[in-house]
Amino acid sequence: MIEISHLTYDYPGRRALDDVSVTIDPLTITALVGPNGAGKSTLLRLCAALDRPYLGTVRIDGLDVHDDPRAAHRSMGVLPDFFGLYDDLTVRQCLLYRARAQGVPEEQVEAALHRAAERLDLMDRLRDKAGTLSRGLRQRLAIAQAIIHEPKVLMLDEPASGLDPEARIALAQVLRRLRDDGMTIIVSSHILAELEDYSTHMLIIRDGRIVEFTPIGQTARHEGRLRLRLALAHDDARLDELLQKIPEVTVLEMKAAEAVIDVADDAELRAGLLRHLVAAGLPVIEFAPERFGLQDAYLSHVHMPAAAVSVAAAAKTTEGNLA
Amino acid sequence: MIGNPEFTRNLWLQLSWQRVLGAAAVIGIIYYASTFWGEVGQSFASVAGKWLFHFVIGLWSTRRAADALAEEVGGNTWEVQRMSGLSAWQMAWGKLLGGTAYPWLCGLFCLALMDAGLLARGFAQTEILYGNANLIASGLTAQAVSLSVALILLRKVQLRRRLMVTFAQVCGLLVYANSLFGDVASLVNGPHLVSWYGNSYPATPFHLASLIVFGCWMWLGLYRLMRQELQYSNWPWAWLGFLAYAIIYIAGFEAGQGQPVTAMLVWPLITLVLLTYFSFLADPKDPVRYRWGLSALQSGDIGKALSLMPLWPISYVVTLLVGVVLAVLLSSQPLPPGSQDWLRYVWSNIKPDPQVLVIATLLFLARDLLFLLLLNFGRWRERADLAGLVYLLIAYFPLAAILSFVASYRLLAVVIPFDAHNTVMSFGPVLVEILVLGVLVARRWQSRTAIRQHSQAA
Repeated sequence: MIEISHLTYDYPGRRALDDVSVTIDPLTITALVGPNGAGKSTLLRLCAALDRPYLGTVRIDGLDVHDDPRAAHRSMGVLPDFFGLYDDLTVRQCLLYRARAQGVPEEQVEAALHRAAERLDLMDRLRDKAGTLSRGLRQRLAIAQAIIHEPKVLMLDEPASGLDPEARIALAQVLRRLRDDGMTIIVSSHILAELEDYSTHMLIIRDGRIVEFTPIGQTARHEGRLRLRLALAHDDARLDELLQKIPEVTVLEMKAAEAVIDVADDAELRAGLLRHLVAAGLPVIEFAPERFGLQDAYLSHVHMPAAAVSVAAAAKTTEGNLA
Repeated sequence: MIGNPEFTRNLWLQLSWQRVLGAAAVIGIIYYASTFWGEVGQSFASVAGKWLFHFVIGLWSTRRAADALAEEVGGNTWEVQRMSGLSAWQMAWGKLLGGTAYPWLCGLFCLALMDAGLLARGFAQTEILYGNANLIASGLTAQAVSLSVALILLRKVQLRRRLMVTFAQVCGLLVYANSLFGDVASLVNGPHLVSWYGNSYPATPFHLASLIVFGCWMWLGLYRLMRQELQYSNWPWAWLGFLAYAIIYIAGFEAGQGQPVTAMLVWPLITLVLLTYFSFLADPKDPVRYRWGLSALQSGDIGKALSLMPLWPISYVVTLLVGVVLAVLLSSQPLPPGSQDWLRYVWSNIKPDPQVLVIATLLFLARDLLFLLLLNFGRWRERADLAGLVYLLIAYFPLAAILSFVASYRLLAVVIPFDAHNTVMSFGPVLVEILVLGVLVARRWQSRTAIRQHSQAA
């Protein structure tokens, strides 16, 4: 759906994006994360055709966004962090204007307006001026504007910034619903816990390069191996001894009542291992594949030294693309 | 017109029944009052209508045109507009006519008041029509200039200050001031003729036609700027066309009267020099884009190189070509005495050689551009143009005056184009300045465009 190829962009004296390539599949929600100044906003701006790259292309649904920015804008919706609303217009006028500006045929404008307002629960606010709305409602109006023309791709920059917890939960529901309705979504945000609620993929950018692009919430499988997390009801020194004696097991982490081990991705082997531990009298309360958490994965990458990141980037990006 | 969403949005914001009725009531009351005073009242209505139009369109609508963009930028809606499906043309005229819809409505009421007064006084309909067309064309052109200047300032990241909006308004106002020429011409309409390429034309229609063509160029310029803002690739053909038009139009005033070609080229050259300065000052002079353009040129990607090329090198090359042609022709076709009056007026006792002055002007233009470029590649890019202009003005006026007093005329060629009656003294100083500035610009360019990777930057 979104193909970013060798994207390179400079600011005076500094390379902001360095040969960035990634392909984002349809019907996914990708969390775009990274430290301040990593290049997230630049990447979003280039994808939204607000700036032209030095090198590289961005294709959305096969269309090069920089060849014909206007045509590209008709198939994408963008929610900037400042919302960009006309305070003196009513909600209805805001939506009417945006529908027409995005090229919705005149005979379909009313239907599009109602569909967008219903999706974002704004039907009872159509006569209110945008400037009188609360921040949560302004955000909903901004999303309604961004999706009024049924774009295939929706890009959101810090959508939850300044929202109360209730509004954030509502936002997560809206985004999941939009994905279910057929949109591919990219969300740039600093609030990782919130991103984890609805994102299907994570794209970590650092120093203008992609360091990780991976599905979120999947089990930690890699090249036929699997990471398992083991937990006991209480401390037992025999756990380490037992595990060390089994040749098929590699102990990755060991605490008093917890361990992370690496084993072959084989169900029979796992069943045998569990039987062996229980038979040995260990009080096993948890025996499950480890799952990738967005926050853990992010922190593990942003704390990697830059040299290691650049080495990892090439391999992981390719792997992520395949996923 | 309603099919343009940007125009419609502006109408929603600009026009309300209260505002429309208010404007109609004010003009109606003035007209009604004037009917009680016979001829004096009719005269008052026509004069009041005209000056109210000048105020509403000349002062207010040029401000609104620049504000239409400044408000978008300040209200954080400009980026959202840039991400919409609106075309550059829809954006340009929707903003220009929509943002000034209320001033235009008031302006049309004022015109109606003026016309009613003029008709009552027995003025010919043709004359009234010319007057109206002149005022409307002036207003539309002035607004296009005002919005174009605002767009240029936006590209230079300088539109956030209110002073810059005022600057854009003043530029529009200066263009609007030509409508007063229309007024003056109409007073002497008939006997006053304009000679252009050997043909004589009545001044008023000639002025109106010139204004309309100039207005069309301004609207085209606005459209091209908007395209650029919306990230479309622009090749510089429109600017080249405008330069060609400027040469042809201005040369026409000297042509066809038995004048040599050299006389025809003097004013086009002066215009081209000014346009080179203008195009230089209007350019954001972004070293990153310059580097990309040069890189595209080196890799043979001519299309990309042209789309990234700033307009001032093109202006300079055209100026150089016209200047060189003029300098060469001056050897065989000296300027007629009438064309040298201004030289005699400035340097009555020096008797400069026009050929030397032309070549020196081209060299000083190069020097000024290099000097401004040097400042722009420095740390204070935002202030570089203004600071550079101040330095150059000091060099051209007070410093030149001081040198002429202190060291006679011999050293004037250091600061201004001057014929020292000695080739080395006339061209030597400026050539040295160009060489030194060239080396400094090259060094600063290298340091500005050296790319640091993130890890190095950290």
